[in-house]
Amino acid sequence: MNKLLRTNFFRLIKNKIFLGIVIITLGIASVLLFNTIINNQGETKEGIDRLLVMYMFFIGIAMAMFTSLFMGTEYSDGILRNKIVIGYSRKDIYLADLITSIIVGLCIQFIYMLIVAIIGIPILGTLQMTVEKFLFIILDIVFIIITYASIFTCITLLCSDITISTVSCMILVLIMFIASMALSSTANAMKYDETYIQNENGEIEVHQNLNPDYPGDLKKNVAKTILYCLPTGQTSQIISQVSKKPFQITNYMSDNELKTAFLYSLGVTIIITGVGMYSFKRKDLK
Amino acid sequence: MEYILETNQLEKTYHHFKAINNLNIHVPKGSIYGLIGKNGTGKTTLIRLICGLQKPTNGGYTIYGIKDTEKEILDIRKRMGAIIETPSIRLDATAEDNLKEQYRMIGLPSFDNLQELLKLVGLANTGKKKARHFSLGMKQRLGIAIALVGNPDFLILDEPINGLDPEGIIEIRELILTLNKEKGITFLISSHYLDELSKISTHYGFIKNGTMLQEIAKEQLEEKCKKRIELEVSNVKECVKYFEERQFSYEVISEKRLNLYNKINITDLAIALSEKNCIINKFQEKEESLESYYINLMGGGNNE
Repeated sequence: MNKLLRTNFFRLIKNKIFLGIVIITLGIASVLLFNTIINNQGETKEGIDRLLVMYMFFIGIAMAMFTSLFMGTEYSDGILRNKIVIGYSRKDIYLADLITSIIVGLCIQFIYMLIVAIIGIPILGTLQMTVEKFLFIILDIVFIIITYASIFTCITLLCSDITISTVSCMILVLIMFIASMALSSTANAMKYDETYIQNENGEIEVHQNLNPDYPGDLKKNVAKTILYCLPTGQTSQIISQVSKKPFQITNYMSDNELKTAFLYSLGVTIIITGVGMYSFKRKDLK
Repeated sequence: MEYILETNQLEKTYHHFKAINNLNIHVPKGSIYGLIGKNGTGKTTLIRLICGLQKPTNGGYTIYGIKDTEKEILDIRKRMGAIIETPSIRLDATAEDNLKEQYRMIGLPSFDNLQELLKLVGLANTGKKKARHFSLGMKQRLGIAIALVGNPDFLILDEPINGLDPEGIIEIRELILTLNKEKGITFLISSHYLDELSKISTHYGFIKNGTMLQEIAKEQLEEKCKKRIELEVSNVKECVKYFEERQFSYEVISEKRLNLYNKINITDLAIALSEKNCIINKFQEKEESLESYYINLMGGGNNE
């Protein structure tokens, strides 16, 4: 498998798809940086917390493009066929492609974070969150990328037509985003509405009223589980977690959930890769 | 005889369609084996099975004596190369880069012999030209060069001259003959260009509806196809006696018919046989080409 990985990485050096995605990533980093700096003209520095994870909204599309085109070309050029002919097992081919996709995803994400950190820290200030929280967010991001890679590798290697696999991957990301948005309100519904009232002494009192739209514990838990299983769902939860306003109502993800979110990604990755490898092994190639 | 590839009642079914049906093939070491059959008879399916792209529904095959179900088959595949339908080349890379990628994939420590390989297939002067701009013949030759990386001793070529111009066909033919003679590479070549196959093949396999109709060596085929006189005589025994005395080459077809492969004067033969109470009732000069042999074997018009 090392030889396959080595070949894939050499291909990356001259690969226009990879280069194009890196350039687009730099462009997105510049736009987001510029936008954040413009909106942060006050005296208090916002920090780069939110900015650092914002690219997660784009990483799905970037990885869908890369994985489907990079590996789809292997099908269309007959390279995949050649690998089997010269004696590579399908398991090795699958895993090498999966690892390549993961590494490219991580590379793109960290290129973005690096650019944002280098330019953003002097202007916007350093991290506002604790280092521990930041490390858990990084851990979650890494596993979200791994999940994306497993989904797109599975689709691309099981679909021998590059056009169909590329379109399928892109549409799937959009569907996942829409599904996440749809699930979000149920998954994050609060049982009680809190109202803050100032009493006669000038103190703030918190009043809790039962939320009439609360879907029930079971529905909420199911929606939350599905939301965390979707890489797009976790992305929106993480971004809400590092929201710039401390009391913003969208801050749905508890610290405990932040620490365990990667387990959902891990589970999804294992299932998809297992199913993908099993199906790829049995697939009749042309 | 040592066989590089053997299949045993190989079968491949797609849903309810049997693409390969109890097929047996024997590819001798050092041969150029021409796999002949019409389009859609299962030639490419057979090659896909042998190359591990698809799994047989029933039966199996051995390559260098290793069964397809054994783990070692993956190592054995390193000794073979294949071009199936279209050559496996990266169109956005140069000939040299394509070869380098194959070197890396195989895990060779250096690019030794790379230039030699390019020279061998006549692509040494392509420089920075991308494979996408190559002619069909050049792409085919690059495909062969890629398949040759790692010094395989068994090459499978599926329709290697499809779409090539006459010059390209000659180049591929010469290349195959050179590799077979100088490097001892065994070839399995599928094609429906009988004329071209007849120029290079040492063995033939005729395939129809996924079944092997006949396997035959070139010498045997030539023997069957060579010029002959078909005789219908009144007394085959006396006729055979006469042929034996003169050490003629002949073949008895039935109780009254024989084939004579020597050049003779028919009047002299008729007189000589009549002295032995044998009369020639009918004679016909015949010569069969590979094409007519193929058509006869395939069942001619009934085959359509």
